Amino acid sequence: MGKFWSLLFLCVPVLGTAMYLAGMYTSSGPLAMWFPENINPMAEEIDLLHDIILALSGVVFVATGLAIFLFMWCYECGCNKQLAKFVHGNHRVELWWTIIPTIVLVALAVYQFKVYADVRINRPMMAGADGVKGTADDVPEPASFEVMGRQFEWRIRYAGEDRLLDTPDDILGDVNELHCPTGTVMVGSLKSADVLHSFFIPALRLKNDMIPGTRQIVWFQADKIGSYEIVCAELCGWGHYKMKGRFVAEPPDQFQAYLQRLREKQFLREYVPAPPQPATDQVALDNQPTN
Amino acid sequence: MSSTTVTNWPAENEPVVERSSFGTWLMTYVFARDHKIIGLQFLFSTLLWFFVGGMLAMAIRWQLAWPWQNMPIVGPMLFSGEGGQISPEFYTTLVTQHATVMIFFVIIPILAAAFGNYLIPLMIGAEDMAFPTLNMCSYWMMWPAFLLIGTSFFVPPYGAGAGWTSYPPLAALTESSPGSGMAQTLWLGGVMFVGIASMMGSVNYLTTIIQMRAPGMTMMRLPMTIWGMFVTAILQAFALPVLTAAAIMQMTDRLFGTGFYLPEMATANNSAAVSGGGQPLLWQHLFWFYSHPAVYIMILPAMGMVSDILATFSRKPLFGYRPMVLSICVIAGLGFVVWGHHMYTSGMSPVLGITFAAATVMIAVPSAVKVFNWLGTLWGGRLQLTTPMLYAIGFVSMFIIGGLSGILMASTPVDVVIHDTYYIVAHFHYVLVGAATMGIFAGIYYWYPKMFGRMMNEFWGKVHFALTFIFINGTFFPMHLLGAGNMPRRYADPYHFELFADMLPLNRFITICAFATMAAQLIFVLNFFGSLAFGRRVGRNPWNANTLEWSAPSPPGHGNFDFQPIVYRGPYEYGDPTCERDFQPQTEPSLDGKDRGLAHA
Amino acid sequence: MNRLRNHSSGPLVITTLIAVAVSFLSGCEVPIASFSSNLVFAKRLEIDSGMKMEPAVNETQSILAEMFGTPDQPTWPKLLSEDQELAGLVSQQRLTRAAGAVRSDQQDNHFGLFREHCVHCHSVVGNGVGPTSSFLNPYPRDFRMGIFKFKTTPKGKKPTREDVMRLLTEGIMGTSMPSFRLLKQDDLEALTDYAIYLAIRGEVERRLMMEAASELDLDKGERLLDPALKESAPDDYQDQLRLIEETVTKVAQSWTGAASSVTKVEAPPADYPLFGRDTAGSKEAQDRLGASIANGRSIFHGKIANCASCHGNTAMGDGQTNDYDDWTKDWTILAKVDPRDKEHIQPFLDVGALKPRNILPRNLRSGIYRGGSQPVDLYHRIVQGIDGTPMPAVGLKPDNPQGLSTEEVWDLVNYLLSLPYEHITQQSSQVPPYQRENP
Repeated sequence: MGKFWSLLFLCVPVLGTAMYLAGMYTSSGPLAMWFPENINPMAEEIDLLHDIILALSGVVFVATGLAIFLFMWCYECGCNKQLAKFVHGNHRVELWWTIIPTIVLVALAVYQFKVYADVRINRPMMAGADGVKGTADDVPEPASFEVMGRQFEWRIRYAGEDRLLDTPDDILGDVNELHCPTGTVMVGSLKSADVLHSFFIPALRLKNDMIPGTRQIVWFQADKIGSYEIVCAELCGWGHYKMKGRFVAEPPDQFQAYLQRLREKQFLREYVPAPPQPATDQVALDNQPTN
Repeated sequence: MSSTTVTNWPAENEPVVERSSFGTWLMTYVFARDHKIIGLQFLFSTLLWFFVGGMLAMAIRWQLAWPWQNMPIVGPMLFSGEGGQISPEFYTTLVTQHATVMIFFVIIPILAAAFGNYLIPLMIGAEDMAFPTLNMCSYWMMWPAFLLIGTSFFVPPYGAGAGWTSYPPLAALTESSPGSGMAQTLWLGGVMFVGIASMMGSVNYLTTIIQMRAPGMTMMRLPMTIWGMFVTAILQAFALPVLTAAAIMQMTDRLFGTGFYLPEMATANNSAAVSGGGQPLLWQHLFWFYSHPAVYIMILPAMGMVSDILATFSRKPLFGYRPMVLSICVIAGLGFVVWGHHMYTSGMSPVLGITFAAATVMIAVPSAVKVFNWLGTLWGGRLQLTTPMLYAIGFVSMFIIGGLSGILMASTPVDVVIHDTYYIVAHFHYVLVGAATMGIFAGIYYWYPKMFGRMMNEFWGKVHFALTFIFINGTFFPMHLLGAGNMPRRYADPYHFELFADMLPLNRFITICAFATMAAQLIFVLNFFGSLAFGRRVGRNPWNANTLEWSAPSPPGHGNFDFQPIVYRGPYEYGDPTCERDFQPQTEPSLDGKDRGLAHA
Repeated sequence: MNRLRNHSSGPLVITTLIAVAVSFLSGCEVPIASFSSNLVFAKRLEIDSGMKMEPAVNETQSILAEMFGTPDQPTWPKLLSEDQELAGLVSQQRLTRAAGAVRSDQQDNHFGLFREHCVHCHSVVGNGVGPTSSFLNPYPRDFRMGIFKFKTTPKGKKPTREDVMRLLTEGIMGTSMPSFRLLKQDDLEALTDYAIYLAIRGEVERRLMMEAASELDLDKGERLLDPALKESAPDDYQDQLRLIEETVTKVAQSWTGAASSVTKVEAPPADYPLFGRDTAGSKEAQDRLGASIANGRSIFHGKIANCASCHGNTAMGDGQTNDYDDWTKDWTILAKVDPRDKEHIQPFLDVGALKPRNILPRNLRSGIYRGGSQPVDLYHRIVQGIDGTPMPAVGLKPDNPQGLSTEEVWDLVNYLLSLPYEHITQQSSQVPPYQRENP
């Protein structure tokens, strides 16, 4: 029976690794799921960091799994005719398997700080009074769009010509649809009208809670034209799962044209029946080649 | 440690009180002050809730595998008007109550209270807890919690549905969600009572372990189970008051219009704006200040129990007893300063996230040390693969997975991506369902003969293990992939997103495995109750184990020991080649006269 | 079973598993046999007429089931699909697509859309009392009165198809109605058809019940469509049938007629100042805008429009706050039931009415406009009023010499748009609010 149980335990590392590999390397089938495509160059290192940690922990996972299997296989009392080793521990071994993980983990921790600082701490700056970027009087780049989470939708607004939010020339965006120009660092402001929401764009590796009463600043750069999904990642009530939004990355000129369309729509004073179907121009957009 | 108490034997000293037979029954089995009866009370209550929580999980899995289809039994009962499909707020109630029940009513009480109560006096050689009446109160304090949270399911407009984390404003504004009404108030009340009950228990454990050890039982001769319970009790004693206070604050926010957690002019669903002036993040800090240590409360006792079982059935000493004790203490210490890793994306200062990340990554070190020591214990032993042993090895196997995926979460930037996705769900279910539950089953199978004087059926125990092990892995391992695909938690229907539309087949697989896991527990239930009547009767020490409880009768009578236990050595002296037998009970002096017992005490 | 349950929880697990297995085999569907009847309205008629409405309710139910089918198999009444003018209103194909249990095919085309997206709030019959409804504020719409608030047609008229579609794509800001703009166009069309279908069905139901209550002596066994007459007096039977068919046609016609009654918007000249667009414009534009807003403010507080009487002097919606909407009035005030009297309304709550809530005038400073935030939307709200609510339509010159000119309406629009940016304490200040320092 000992062999049976050890083989059962062997299944864990074998099938586990197989499942992970299937997730990473198959392109279709029920297991084909992995991180969605990343279009944000500022967050590229996140994926790298994930892969490094995954590889390291994968090695430990397989090694410990095999160890369990081997020990069960070899030392099950039915087959192990020798006496049990009467040892209470080994100081040197203990020391090594404490020190090595510590070093590896400290290295990881230090590396991740840098990655984290890029995406969450070092807010993009722009030239201050002297008009030159990179000098001491640089000021933080103001947010150019605002997303307000509401139960259960995303209300979008863009800064108007004054580049400030909350002024009368703000441009009201389409509900649940955020547009951004490609190749530009975008700074956005997040707020909530009622409860906590979490603004999550998997393709940008961007996630931040929206807290009523405070503003959150996020930034990213979208480098690939296309339409992606916005997800709510914080339980916000019964309709939490309904908070689906669309994130559209488009060339800067198209983005400007979109803003212009919004502006016209916002100041519309004549009734125009039926808004143009949003899905159709989207399809066209999706098919465009990447620049 | 010379402060150990020499106990007086109750059989000689306790006055015999004449009572009516009902009164005796009531005082013996209901308002019991005997630690073993209380432990069993906890065990049976929590196992009952385990079933409830499990069924809630089944309902959740049903919705994820067959969204908006008629839910069997429940659907026609509650939602016949909508064609039997559950409503989304019912789903949020399900996830909230599943977590609440499993955490507050199952894992914490079964480990800390059921096993803690039963084992601590037995394993340290005491006649009972230090404060038997307080012990009884701690059990009966659970009942208001059972009733409040049980009722919160049924009050209008809906059962509590703000998640077990109960984040305000969703939880604090009554108008923000159907489950944020009366139900949420009851829920908070329930959590408060759980807190009080656990406080009573932990004070008792600390006093008992420090004051009532048998002669010769030094701290460094305590079995790992007791170390796990001891450190858990410290965690509970220091972390729980924070949660209890935080829950009271949220209660006053809801009932009396205070503004601890509500920002100025907070409103939801067109409710009248409240004056507020508080900060929603405050709750998250307070909540996780308790609830992160709670994770260790849910795993440390299991770690201890598993250490004991591994050593017993490897027939060799535990590898590295001192590092094991040390790492438990380090885990507990660090456990207090890592709560912020639940909040990397919460909007707290990102700079703060860095300090929490550093501490969190470090907590992996003592966890790794423990795993290596367990493996070291297996190495070179003569493994007896009994049911408890299989569960203990299962614990190690699952804990490795849960621990390793924790490193991904500890890393701030990676967590930004996988936070609140199924990666997290997979991770904590591996720790709680995988590891802690495996530990619980190991403990039940291991100490069952002590509790009831009969063995559980080994064959069915192994079948139960095999099925549970396979299907728990089948349920939770694929969730890592869902998480890698960024499927969010607590979504009643993720499939209308393009990103998650393809995940239905895998979710169905998970659901089927979850149903199978649940079904496999039927074997356990039948085995458990069947063995009560038909199990093989056993003597004091069926496993040939060393620790003190195995020197007492099975089951032990009131007062536990029928002799004065004196401890001569540590708990893990298995397989000493110089001895005749491969075990040396802690209470037995060596025949060769090499006792070092009291001299070193 | 009970005996077993006391002993262990095992049998429950088995039962569950069997039930799961059975439901797999049966395709997991619980057919919904019929649309539920409008019992709240029946209760009201019962109080009005003093007769037991039960026979009429049952009869209406069977007549409607004959014509409109069931939630799983809705049908567009034959007499409507045969009518050339009315046939295009709703397509049977789209109805089928929107109805029934949630399901999808290999190409990810979704069916049962109404139950996937709408029933949680609007319920299967579209009466706005789905499982989530009692908790939402405002309550979800009851389609069965055929009244819709946000549309381009005057009070009392039906919305156009585009209006309904717009509510679906944009959602209704400030309420729980979400935007469905990310659904496929086909899905939206199907849902629009289904909503119209439910509204027509519901209104026909009301009318038939009303007819039964006012014309028939139900206690004596008189019926709307008496099958006994088919043999004994075929002519009378035909009359009854015709009457019912006329009701259906009339309701359907009110929908097809909507397109021709769309309010014509008198657009102002292109250089007319507009808040937001001209706020940072040339000096001259700013001055003109300032004047326009000032004029808007005086109209707001003035005698003709008299917005302040309900929306309050502060425009925060704190003027008149104790009124009810038409859906509530329908079974309370119109039935001489005091909506504040708990005992009095209890019988209605028992049959499914939602607890009455006051309808509050909008807080115009919040920047949330339920009917849309474009100037033209505000124009529509002002000149049409809002159907189903106490918000009246303002009279327009020259039809109504007492009313406002279109220019004045646009001034009012400018003022309303500027309100969210105005400090409440600066109301009377001479500095135009949009020119204040931006922090």
